[in-house]
Formats: sequence, C-alpha cells, structure tokens
Amino acid sequence: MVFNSLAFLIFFMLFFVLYWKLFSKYNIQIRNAFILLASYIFYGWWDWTFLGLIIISTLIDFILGKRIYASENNTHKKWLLGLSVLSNLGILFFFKYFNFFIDSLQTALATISVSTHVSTLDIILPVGISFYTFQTLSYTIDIYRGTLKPTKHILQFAAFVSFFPQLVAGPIERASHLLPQFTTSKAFNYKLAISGLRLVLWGFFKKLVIADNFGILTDLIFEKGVNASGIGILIGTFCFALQIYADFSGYSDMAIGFSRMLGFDLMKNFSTPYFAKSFSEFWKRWHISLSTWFRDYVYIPLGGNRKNGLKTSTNLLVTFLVSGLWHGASFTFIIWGALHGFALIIEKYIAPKSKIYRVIAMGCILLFWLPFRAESIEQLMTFTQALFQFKSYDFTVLNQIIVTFSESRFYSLLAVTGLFLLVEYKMQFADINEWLNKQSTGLRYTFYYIVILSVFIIGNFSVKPNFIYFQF
Amino acid sequence: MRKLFKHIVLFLFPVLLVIYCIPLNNDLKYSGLEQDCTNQGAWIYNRTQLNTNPIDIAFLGSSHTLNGINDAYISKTLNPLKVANMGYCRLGRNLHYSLLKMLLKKKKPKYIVLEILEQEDRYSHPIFPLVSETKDVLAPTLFFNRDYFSDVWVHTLYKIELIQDFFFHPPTPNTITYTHSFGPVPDTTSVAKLEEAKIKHHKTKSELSELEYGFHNRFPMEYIKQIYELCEAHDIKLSFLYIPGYGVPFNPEELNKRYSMYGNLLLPPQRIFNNTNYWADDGHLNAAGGNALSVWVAERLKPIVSP
Repeated sequence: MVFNSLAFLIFFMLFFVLYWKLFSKYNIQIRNAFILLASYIFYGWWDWTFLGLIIISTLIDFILGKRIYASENNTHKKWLLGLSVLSNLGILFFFKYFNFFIDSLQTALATISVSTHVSTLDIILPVGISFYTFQTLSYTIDIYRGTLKPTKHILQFAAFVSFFPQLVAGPIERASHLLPQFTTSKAFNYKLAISGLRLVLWGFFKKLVIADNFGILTDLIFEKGVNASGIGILIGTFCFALQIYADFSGYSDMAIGFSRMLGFDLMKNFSTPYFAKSFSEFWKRWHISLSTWFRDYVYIPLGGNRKNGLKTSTNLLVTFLVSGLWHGASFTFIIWGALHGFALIIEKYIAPKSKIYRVIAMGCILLFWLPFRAESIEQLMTFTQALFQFKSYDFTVLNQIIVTFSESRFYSLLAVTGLFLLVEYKMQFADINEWLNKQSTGLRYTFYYIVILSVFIIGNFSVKPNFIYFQF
Repeated sequence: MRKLFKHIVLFLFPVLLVIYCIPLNNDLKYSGLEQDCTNQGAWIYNRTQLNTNPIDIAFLGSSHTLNGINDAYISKTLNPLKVANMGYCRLGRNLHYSLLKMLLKKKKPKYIVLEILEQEDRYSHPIFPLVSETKDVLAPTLFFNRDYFSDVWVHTLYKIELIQDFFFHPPTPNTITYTHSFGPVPDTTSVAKLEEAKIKHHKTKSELSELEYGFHNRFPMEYIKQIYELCEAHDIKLSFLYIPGYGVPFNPEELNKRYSMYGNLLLPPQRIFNNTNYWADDGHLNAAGGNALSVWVAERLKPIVSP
C-alpha cells in the first residue's frame, strides 16, 4: 500500500475516523493495539509473509531491551546488545546483502583464479527492512547506553516499530522521541490536522509533479546511454538529483503529515539540502534521520573527531562507506558513499568559505548522483567517460528527448519547478506551515489551488505508484 | 473533526467539479484503449460515432460475442440491414449499458442482441470507468456495486489523464488503423483440454448457493433492467443470445426465468456448442464455430426483423 493509491486513501480515511472517534477516547493500550493492527494491515497489504520479520525483530528487541536494562553486569549487557545487533543485522544481511556478498566473493576469488560454485538465493527484499531494523537497533543501543528506559508494554513498542506512516521509508525515528508519544493520550486538534494536510499536499506535489516527471526525463536520457552524449548524462544526472530529492522528501513530508494528523510528531528528514553551502552542511540537511543515526551509532562510537586527523578521516570514510552500503547491495552505492566521504575529508582540511566553493560543492553533490543512478559499475564507467568528452556534447539528443516527453509538458514542468524551487528557498527560513501561516488567506488559497492544479495538469498518474527509497 | 471534513469537501469541490464537468473529446477517451482487446474500443467508437453507415442490429457482449458473431455474414444475409458486432473482451454488464447509450447518440438501431452466459458476472467491467459518462460512474443508482470506489477512482484518474492529454498530447485523428470487430482468436485447444474445462465448469456451477447467487446477480440484473428500459424508450427490440463456454451445463428453464421478462431468448442448438471442432479455447468459438453460430443466428433473426 503506497500513499498515492486508492487503497491507502480508503484505508487512511477509515483509520482516521475510527482512531479519533473511537479508539483515542479510551484506553491508550487499546489505541496502540489499533495502531498496531492498522500498521500490520498496511504492511501486509504488500506481502503478509514478511510481517513475521517485523514481529521477530520487535520481540527480540523488546525482550533484549528489558534484559539489558535489568542487567547490572557490563559484560552481560554487552553480550545482550551484541545479540540484538547480530540478530537485526543478520536478518538485514540475509535479505539485502547475501546475494551481493556471494557474487562479490566469487568475483574476487575468480580474479585470483579460484573458481567457486555457490548459488545465490532467490530472495525478495522486504520493503522498509533497512528502516525498521535501524529504528529497533537504536532502541537497544540507547538502553545499553543508559539514555533510555525500556518500555513495559509490548503493544506500545510494537506500535513504535511498525507505525505505518513511517514504516517503509522513514524518517527513522529514535525511541526517545517517538516511543513516549505512544504513552500519552491524544485529542483531535484541528490546527494540527490542517498543518498535517498541508504537508501531505506538498508531499504529493513533490512526488507526482516534480519527482515523477523528472523521473521520466531521467529514464529517457539514461535509456539512450552514451548516445545521450556527455551533456545528456550531465542533465540526466541533474534531473535525477531533483527526482530523488522530490521523491524521498515528498514521501517524508507525507509521512510526517499523516502522523501529525494522528497527533504524532515525527522528526524533520530534509531541510532544503540543495541550498547547502558545503558537503558537511548538505549532510546536516539530507535524510537527517539516517545521517544522525550514522553519526550517533557509527561515527561517534568509532571515535568521531576526538582523535587525530587521520583517525577522524578514517572514521568519516568508514561511516560513509557503510551509509552507501545501507542504500543498496551494489558497488555503485559504495562508490557514492566513498565520494561523499572523501569530499568531507578534503573539506575538513581546506575549510573553504568562499561563494565559489559553494557552487563547486553543490555541483559535485549533484554529479555524485551519477553512481547512485547507474545500474552497474560498467554503466557508471561508460557514463563517466562520456561525461568528460566535452567535444562530443550533442544538444540535438536533448531536443529529441524533449519532443518525446512533450514540449508543452516540458515547459510547464520548468515553470512549476521554478515555483517549487522558490518555495524551497523560502523554506530555508521557515517550514511550509510557518510560511503559509504568515500569508494572507487569499494568497494561501491561491497557493493551494496552484499546487492542486499542477498536480492535476502535469502530475504523473500513469507511472506505477512507488517511491525510490522503498527499495532501500 | 466534522469541521475538518467539511473544509476538505468544500476545498476539493471546485477542483472535482472542474475535473468531472470539463467537456472532453471522445476521441481522446477511446484512443486510450488502443492497446486493449485488439483495438475493439476504437473500432466501436469509430463505427458508432464517426462512420455514417447506419446500424440496425447491434450485438453487445463479451469476447464470446466478439469471437462468435460474424456481423459481415449476418449483414449480408439480412440485407439491407446493417449489423455491428460490438462485443468487447471481458465481462461486466455495466459496459454494455454504456455502449448502448453511446450507440443511441448517433444511430437508431431496431434490434439489440445482448449476450448471456450461464450466469451473470457480478463485477464491474474494467473499462466501464474509462468510457462511461461521469454521472453513470458516480451515481450508478444501484444497490450494490463492489467496484464502486475503484470505478470512481479510475474514472477520476482517467479524466485527469485526458485533461493532460488535451493540453500536452492532442489527438491526431486518422492515425489509428481500426481492426474489424469479428475476429476469432487462433485455435489453442484440444479435446482433452476441453473435457478438463467441462469438468471445471460443472464444479464452478455448484459452488454458489441460491442466496449468494441472488445477491451477486443484483448488480448485473439491474443493468439488464436499465438496458431494457433504454430499449423500450427508443422502441428497440431486445433479445438475449446464449453463448456459453464449452461444456457448461445447459439450463434453459433458468435462462428463461431470468431473461424472458425483458425480451426473447435466442438459445442456439447444443450441437454447435458440443462440437469440439468449433472451439478456439474452452471459452471462445473459433472461426468455424463463429460462422456456424452466425448462420443459425441469421436464420433466427430473419423472421423477427423482416418488416
């Protein structure tokens, strides 16, 4: 069930009414049970067999969280935490990385003339596994660190792990922030619901208008391969940068919006990242819930920036390699992580502040999406070569692509992207709700209707309703 | 919460009004069906709306009709009457109602032959929300339609797509090569496969209880009634032609009970349906079967339609 589907629309409307009219008025545990049931239906709609994984993950961390807290022996605590980490990452490894590991191992052995015949498995990657695994992991780690007390109620914990608005693509919530919200009673708040709806509307706009249209352009360009020439690949990469941002931040906005309508507050996941002045600032604004997760649970435990320069650089690089791997079991993602890691290391040493650096950094950030978009190392190599053959830049291919896409649609898309970037620029200083609240009623409604009309006139309804980050 | 819903409805009302009421060229609507059912949607649209030749007898039904009725042969036999096979793949009685309405906009048929099967299908036709008028989708005046929300959703999205096409991909007329209606599918069956299907059909029949059957029939029978009323209003004779799958138990009493109040029944002889050489697969007649059925149908229609 995805947000932009009829099934979800009906599901959410029913849930919303029952939640506020019936379940929120009584016992909190009954309300949590209702949220849990709805979340399992939401997830099971995609494939109910994988519900077992969420339940196993939930039970393991619920039990281990309690044991870690109760234990007074540090070694015992460490063992229990190790068990939690091992079981969670074990499940993740099996479903996400097993085939990649086998393939890579066989390729590596083949280079030293050792032939192996280990078969890969026909494994389906469960949607959202990377997200909820990290969410439950943070729970046991925080208990181990003594910064969080375990919950006594299994229903509360299970609802926290599987809370449907953010289950399949985040934001990856920390237990310290989200879990307590399952212990408090809630009353319907009109203003909160409206602010949630605004986020949902803006999320739909980002997804259907910006992401899906730039997605078509990106596909058209990348399908042409090297025939698109260097300029095509360059523009295709920029289109992809817009697509992935609008797709993922659109999903996050919807997740935050739907949660807010239910009285829950989720953390901000994006903060106008393409207006960042440097790599380090970009990573404070892009997929914030994941980058802070890596900061708190990988980078800092490795030593962070407390040691000498070399050690700090290594820590940065390791963190970004792991982050790349988190996105997918492919070397292209690892290269993407490595590029960002190296860029951050360089930036740390040269500490630039000029405006020219800002442009260079953003140019690199946009270009670094090329390995992320490439389907294989070979494709990445070919595209990179084409990118640097400036003499062969051929604009006629781009014209063909625009004609295939439809010229009038393309220029409409450019106009709407202008609006999108303008709002994004404004959102550097205030979030969309704060910004809208400052506007007059007339202007606010004009904005709503422009957004809705854009969705209807150039929103893409024909593509399969899916989000890029579901595959991670 | 009531205030929230009220505001949402008020806010969306003008948007939905524009989407549903904006007049759109039907060329667009049918060009969207190009890839479906061997382009039969475009052919039906072309034949009924653009082609100026009259249609005196129209056959409405599923792929059973599409494969089983040779309209060119029947036209020739009943000359000068013009016959059109408006069968469309898959089941769903509401589509026949919409197609009949479309037919009546430009033609004055004298006779409508509606396909019937051993039992009515209880679902909405997949292209009903695409080709039907908004009021027929939003307010079908039916007691039970399990696909109502899906139909409204698909209809809304399709209208949005059509509006987008209107702006960005205006239709280019005369570029579609329309295929003719009667076109039997290639033979893919064998006697053994047909016998297997026969056993399956017998089992399927016994699965529904009388109560369930009555409940599920409510939806298609309401459309049969509406088709009948539309025919009455336009002084059109309505007949029902039985075209089952292979090996389906024949129950004329049941069929009589269900349809005779709306029109006369055409029940072809079982020798056509029992002949294993006449089937392309267990649901569709092949060219020989279609021709044999068409000969019988033409003979039966002769005395009825002759002035």
